[in-house]
Amino acid sequence: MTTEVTTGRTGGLSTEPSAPGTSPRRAPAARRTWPRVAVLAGVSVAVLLAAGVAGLMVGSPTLGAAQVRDAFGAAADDLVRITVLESRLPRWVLGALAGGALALAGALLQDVLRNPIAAPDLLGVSGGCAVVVAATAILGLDIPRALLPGAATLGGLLIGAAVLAVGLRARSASGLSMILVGLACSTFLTGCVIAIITLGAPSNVGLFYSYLLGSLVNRGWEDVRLVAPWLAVALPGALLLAPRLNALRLGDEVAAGLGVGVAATRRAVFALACVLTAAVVATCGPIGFVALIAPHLVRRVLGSTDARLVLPLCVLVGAAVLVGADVLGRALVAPREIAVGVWTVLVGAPMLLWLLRARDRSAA
Amino acid sequence: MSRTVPDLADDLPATARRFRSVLAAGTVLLIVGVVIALGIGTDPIAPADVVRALVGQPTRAYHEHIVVGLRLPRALIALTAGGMLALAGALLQSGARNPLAEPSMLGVTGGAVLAVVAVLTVTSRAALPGLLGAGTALAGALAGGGVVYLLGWRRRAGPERLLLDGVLVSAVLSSLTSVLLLLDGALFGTVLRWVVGSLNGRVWSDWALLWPWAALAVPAGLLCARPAAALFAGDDVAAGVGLPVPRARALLFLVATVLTAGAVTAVGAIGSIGLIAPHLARLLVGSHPARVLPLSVLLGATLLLGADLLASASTWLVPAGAVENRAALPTGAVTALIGGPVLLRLLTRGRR
Repeated sequence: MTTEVTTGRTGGLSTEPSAPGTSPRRAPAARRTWPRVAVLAGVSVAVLLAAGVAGLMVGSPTLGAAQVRDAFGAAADDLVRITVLESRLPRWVLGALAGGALALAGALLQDVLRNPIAAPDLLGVSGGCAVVVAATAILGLDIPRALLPGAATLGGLLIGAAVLAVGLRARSASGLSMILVGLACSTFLTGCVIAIITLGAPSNVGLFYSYLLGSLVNRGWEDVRLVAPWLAVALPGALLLAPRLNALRLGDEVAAGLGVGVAATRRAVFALACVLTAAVVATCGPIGFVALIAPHLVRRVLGSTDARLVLPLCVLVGAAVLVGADVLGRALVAPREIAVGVWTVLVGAPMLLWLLRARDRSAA
Repeated sequence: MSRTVPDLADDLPATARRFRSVLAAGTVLLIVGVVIALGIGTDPIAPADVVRALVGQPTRAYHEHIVVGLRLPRALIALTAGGMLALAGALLQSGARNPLAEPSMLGVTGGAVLAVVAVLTVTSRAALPGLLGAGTALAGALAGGGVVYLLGWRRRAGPERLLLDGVLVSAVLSSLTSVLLLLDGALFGTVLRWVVGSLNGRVWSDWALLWPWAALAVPAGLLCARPAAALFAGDDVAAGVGLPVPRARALLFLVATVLTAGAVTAVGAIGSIGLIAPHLARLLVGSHPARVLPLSVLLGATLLLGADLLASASTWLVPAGAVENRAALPTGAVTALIGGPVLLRLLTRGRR
């Protein structure tokens, strides 16, 4: 596998107390972690709720708090009620689900590859899903809508597995090579998607452009219903694998010694990450960088890489980040709006640059 | 010129002797390609008739209008832009000994596109008139490339790291471009094809804008062969022959940026040519910049012409009525389809 080990970099704080010679007990470290878990979870939920409420009010038409409150009790054909309950509420739910799923997928991939800069969008998984979705929609392939995330998963699995297979043999087995192999695949996939889109009707081009950026515009309850079953299986599955991920972090030999099936765990985690990503891409498009940012944020704040804590918190933080970005994109240029995928790239790409810089410094 | 250049250890005499014949073969291929490109279209014209139309003795009167009036400017622009992009790529690759350098992944292309789209938005125009467009693209290219240069190119970080820096900066730039495009529906329709990279509908007035740029920048790029060769031999060697290394590297980067900005103004954000052509050239004639640079121009020109042919040929590959819209593929899509696997091959190739 890769030679990168995240523990020393992102989780430096947690390894210090338990290092031999400094402190024989783990209790102080654990005691310092729990308040941070509480704070991070509290802040995430607060952001999620605040952005959610703001999201119910912002847009065209802009509604006051009282109007939003009244909407819940209004008649079924009331315009405000439809705006709030049929358009903005599902959008909030979908944004939270998508953000949580992406962040979880990112955390899973980073752990299982021991590569701090792994993410489904950087490894070509999102691109593979997007090609399938674009092809299905534009070429009019006859796939039942409920199975679309499944078809997208196949595309993501295919590209992701190819990137892993090639990336592990790449010039230097560092985390960087893997990302660059993903980049090469993404270049190719972008070509594919553009080619597919040119075949479609000219009127659809704008729609697919914003889909490819990653967008929550005009998503409704049917999209939530589409994603929900996939996430209902994948989210608990991923959380249950957390103890095994912790073991994997110690190295393949140690993990095997602890009775963890290394290869099987790795395959299961990778497949789960693909399913999570595909469900999001099928409805919201390949939203970038959330999967990279959220886990880093969590590990940095917690000062711990314990997957049992990191994974559930990632779901919360990812949801808060995506919903927050979406509401920001609507509020800044109201009544117009900017696709949420644009914001995540604008924040995420500089952040990755900064992470790489920090890596250089710690390597030097 | 090549007398003063230090000879490189991996420079085989056989590949050096092959240079002239490869150059000749490349030129023949290029000419054949042009004749084919001028003949192909919704109204196919036989190669012999194309040549007759070119020399002013058309078999049928309308041939001259189609070949010279409509298809020739597009072919010329493809050749020139392809040559410029390839030369830019070759300069970057030699100058920093970085086999993964590619103009479209250095923030240069992204910067030029963002600047042009931004000025279009502010002035609410559908297209920028000649010099304004060129100046805007150049300013954007310099700014975008400058960021990447300052981030790591100057310090000569590893090739992979530089590529990643460039890609991330490009991602930010293209996101900003998307913001502008999504906010302006009218602009979106008119410039999207250019943003992706396309040669559709190029006419003689576009050519009038491109050739002076190429006439200045391409010779300047070729003249850089000497510093490029010295840098390619290594920083110590370059310093040993009296070259101010940081300044020489900055100069190469600058010339490559100017070349790229010119090409982007004409054909949009077409990628991969600057990656593929120099590698092909090195395979054919060894890695000495004095040979790689001119051959890259030739191969880049042929490649972009070929990619554009493939792009327009896609119109006939899709049967009528199979899909709603048979608009030709943007050329940028074809180069991306070719470039991805090439980049993959370069990444997985074992260290020399």
